[in-house]
Amino acid sequence: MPETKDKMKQKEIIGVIIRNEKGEIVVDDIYENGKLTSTSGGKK
Amino acid sequence: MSVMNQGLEKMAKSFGFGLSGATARYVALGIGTTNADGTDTLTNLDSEIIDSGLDRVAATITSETTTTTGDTMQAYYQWTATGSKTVSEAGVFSGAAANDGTMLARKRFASTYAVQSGYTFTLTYKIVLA
Repeated sequence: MPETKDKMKQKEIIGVIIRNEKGEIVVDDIYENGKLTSTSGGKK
Repeated sequence: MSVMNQGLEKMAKSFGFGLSGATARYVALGIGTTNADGTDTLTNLDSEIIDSGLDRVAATITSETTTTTGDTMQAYYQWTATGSKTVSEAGVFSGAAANDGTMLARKRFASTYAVQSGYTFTLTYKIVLA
C-alpha cells in the first residue's frame, strides 16, 4: 500500500486584548500554534 | 485519501455551528497553572473562573478564511470584569455550564493576565483546519 501523506493540519490563532477601565489597551497579544508571536510591545 | 478543501470547510464550520448549522459554542477563562500548554488529554480547564463577570459564555461564532474558504472557526467574546482575577488559560467548549461539555481546545497562556474590576478581556480563538 503506498504511503499517504496526511493533508489536514490543525492550527490555533488566539488573540487577547485587555482594556483598563478607561478603555486603554493594556495587553494586545497574539498566539499562533502555541507560541506568543505578537505582543503589546511588538513582534516577538 | 485526500481531504478536499470543501471538506476542511465543513469540518471547521462543524466546530462552531454543528453540522446542522445550529449548535452554539462557548468560551471560558481560567486561573489554573497545573497543566502546561499542549497537554491534549484534558477535559476541562485547570481552574475555570465562575464569577467576577468572567464566567463561561456563548461566544460569537463565525466562519473565517485563513488559507482556503471557510477553513477557520472563530469564537469571539468580550468580558467585562466585576472583580480581580489572574487569567492564565482559556478554552472552547460545547457545554454552556462551567466544567460541562466537551473541551474542543484549550490555551495555557505564556503570560498570566491580571484583570481588575472594570477591565474588559477580549478573546478571539481561531481553530484553523488547512
